[in-house]
Amino acid sequence: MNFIFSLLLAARSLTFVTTLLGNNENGIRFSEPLFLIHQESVALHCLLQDGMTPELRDIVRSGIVVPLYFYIDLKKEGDGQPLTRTFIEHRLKFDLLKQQFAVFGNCPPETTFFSSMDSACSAFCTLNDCRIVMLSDLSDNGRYSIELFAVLGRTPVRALDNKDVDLMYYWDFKRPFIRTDPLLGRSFLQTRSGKQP
Amino acid sequence: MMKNLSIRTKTLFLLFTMLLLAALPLIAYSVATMKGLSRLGWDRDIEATLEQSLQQAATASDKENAAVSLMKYRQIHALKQGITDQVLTVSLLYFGIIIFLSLSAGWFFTTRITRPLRQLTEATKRIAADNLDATLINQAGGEMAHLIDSFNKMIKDLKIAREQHRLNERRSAWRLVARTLAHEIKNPLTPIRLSTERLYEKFLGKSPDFPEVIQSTTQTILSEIANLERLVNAFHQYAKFPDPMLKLESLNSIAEECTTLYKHPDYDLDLRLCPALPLLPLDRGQMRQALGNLLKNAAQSFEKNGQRGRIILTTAREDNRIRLSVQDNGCGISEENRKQLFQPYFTTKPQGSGLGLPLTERIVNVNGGRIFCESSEEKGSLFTLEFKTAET
Repeated sequence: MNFIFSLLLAARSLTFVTTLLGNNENGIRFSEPLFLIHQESVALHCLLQDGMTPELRDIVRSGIVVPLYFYIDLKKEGDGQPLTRTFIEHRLKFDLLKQQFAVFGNCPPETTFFSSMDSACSAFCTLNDCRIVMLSDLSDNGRYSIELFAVLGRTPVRALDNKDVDLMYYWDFKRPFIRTDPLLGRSFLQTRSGKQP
Repeated sequence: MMKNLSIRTKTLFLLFTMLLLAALPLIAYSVATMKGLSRLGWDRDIEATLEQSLQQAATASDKENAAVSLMKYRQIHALKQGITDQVLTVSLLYFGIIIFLSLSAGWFFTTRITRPLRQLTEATKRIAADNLDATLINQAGGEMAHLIDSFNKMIKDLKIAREQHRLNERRSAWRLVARTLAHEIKNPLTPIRLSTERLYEKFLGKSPDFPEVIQSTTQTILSEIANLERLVNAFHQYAKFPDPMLKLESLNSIAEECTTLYKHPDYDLDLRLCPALPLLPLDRGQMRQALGNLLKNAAQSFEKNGQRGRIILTTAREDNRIRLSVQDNGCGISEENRKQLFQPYFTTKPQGSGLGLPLTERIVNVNGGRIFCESSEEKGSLFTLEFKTAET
């Protein structure tokens, strides 16, 4: 019996290892980013789709804080280094006593409370109007593209005496990533507040 | 079955078995841990009880405690699979790395052991092929170093012994030559001396038949001198053997030419040629002489036998070897004589010089071939000339 059990476990682990080493995709992806001009700056709106897997939802329900980090790089065509890099942190926590979900975000810094898991997850995975660059930093003829990726962070678990657990395991250690087609700086500069370039 | 396996396979098998045995407790421990983990956090009743405790808690402190208990229970349930997978993955990777490193180390060390053994095997094969320049460079240590040293010493001793053997062979050959020459020269000397003495006596006694005596004794002396000359010529031919003028020749064509020369009504001469033999670098004249010697010997073997003679001349090819054989149904050669067949001056014929077959062997050798003889008395003999070709 032990032998069969160990065989099953080994097979499962092998599948896990081959998943890690094999396909680079894990089904989690970004929606097409939208750029908005707000108060002389370019803001980004984007949604991470299917980021909250059923296992991650279980994690949330158990009261573990789930940290999610977005990295947004604005790159000018021809330049090696990004023109700007924006770091955005989201945290999702379920309060057992109050039976409510709290989503904390640093862009802008605010905490929103939700009673349903779906709403909380939606807010947790959404980048809403994140300012990435001032219009004055863009040139007319420059061509700009955005590179965006997300990672899950490490979080302490009370049941494990507050030892950290890397939640990237639930994304098979793969980062969702998107790169936009280059856009002319002029297309941002000619647009005014609240409009899409 | 094990004894047929190489040292490397045996060592790697042993290493793998030892690793497996060493890992068995680890596997058993992992299985027990996984079983324990699999029982954690999946009981809906426990969770429901904890939820109930939370709802029924009266004070804030009780609520807090119940919430923490429920949270921990759910956290273990939620993380269980992840922890299990990660522990298993790490264990599997660790075990895989250990196996890889152990087998690599095994491979490395067995290579160090088997390399000198392989070199020894190769060197032994070279010695078997008569190449005594097979000294090994000793880079090994321990018992292997002793073995290689002993092997090198053995080769050195063998070389000296072989040199000594060659020297002895050369000496005995010279002794044989001296003995044979003495014997061959002595034979005609006796009739010459007797004839001269008879002539001298007849001359002193003024014998009336002196003219007849002088005629007969002169004939005897001249005849013996002719024998001596023939002997000297044969020796001269053997000693002054010319270098072969090698050209690409067809062995079939040489065989056909000799067949024409040695056809005789007293015996049958059959020719069985293998078509499309490759050309060989041969001295046509020398080869004709060698083949002629063999055919002449075959023809002479019938004289003692009495039955109608038959000679079969065959060419054949086997892989990169080409063979030309002369088979007869003559009187054959005794085993004792067969041992001395190619020894100079050995002959069983009253008029033979004992140089025909040694000359034939020498011709075949300098033309890059070898000669073998198989024979049984009263059944006949088979002489085979074998040449190697570069083609495969």
